Amino acid sequence: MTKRFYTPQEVAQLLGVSPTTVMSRIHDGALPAVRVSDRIYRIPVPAFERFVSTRPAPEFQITYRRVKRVKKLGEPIAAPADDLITA
Amino acid sequence: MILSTQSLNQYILGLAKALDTRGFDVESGPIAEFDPAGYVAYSVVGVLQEPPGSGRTEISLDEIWHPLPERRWERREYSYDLLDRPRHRRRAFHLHDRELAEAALRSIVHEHCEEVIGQPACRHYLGRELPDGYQAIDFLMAAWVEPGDLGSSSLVCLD
Repeated sequence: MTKRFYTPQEVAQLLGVSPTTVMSRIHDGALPAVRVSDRIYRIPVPAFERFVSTRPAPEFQITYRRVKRVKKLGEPIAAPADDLITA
Repeated sequence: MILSTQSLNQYILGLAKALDTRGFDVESGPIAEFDPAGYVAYSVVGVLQEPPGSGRTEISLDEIWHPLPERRWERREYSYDLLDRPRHRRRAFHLHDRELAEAALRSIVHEHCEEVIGQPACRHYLGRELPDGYQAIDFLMAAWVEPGDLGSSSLVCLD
């Protein structure tokens, strides 16, 4: 399976900085990470690649569309059995 | 979750940015559909570029907001989904069909956890209500990086 995350130590090696610096970037929100426990973090590989990429952040805009009725979300939930009997 | 119109716009754009900083392509940007009743459905979809042939990973964040007086909005429904096709699994956090969910599942929120997409051991798991889409992104990314199983056996089945 393709590697999906780096540890802070691995990121520190890749960037040539200290693990403390990596943790600082995680804590200030610049480097997205998954907190597995109080002291364990995982940095998703795509998040690391985005962090080091030179591609500028996109300027997102919301596209608005008028519709007759907004669609319901998710899969339909079946009615309870009692309702089915009396329906 | 209640926001002003301006805060809501910033929040939705922030979700797209959060997916971008995690390496997801948010190609079409956030989409908002609004109807004459005043409801607005927002959709933000991020796709990960995966090796060819492995299928793609997708995170979709969908929310329905209802208007309140004084140009404020309330999030009434949500559907936050991870489709991890390379590993054939799915994780999701839902709040929809409130009354029906309450009656059928005894909970307005539920979760989906499919160790194999399309083959759930249980259709609805007991869920926790997520405060916002940012928390959902954190949970879905945690599922994506998880090397072991998704942990469906430790969840409470509602069906």
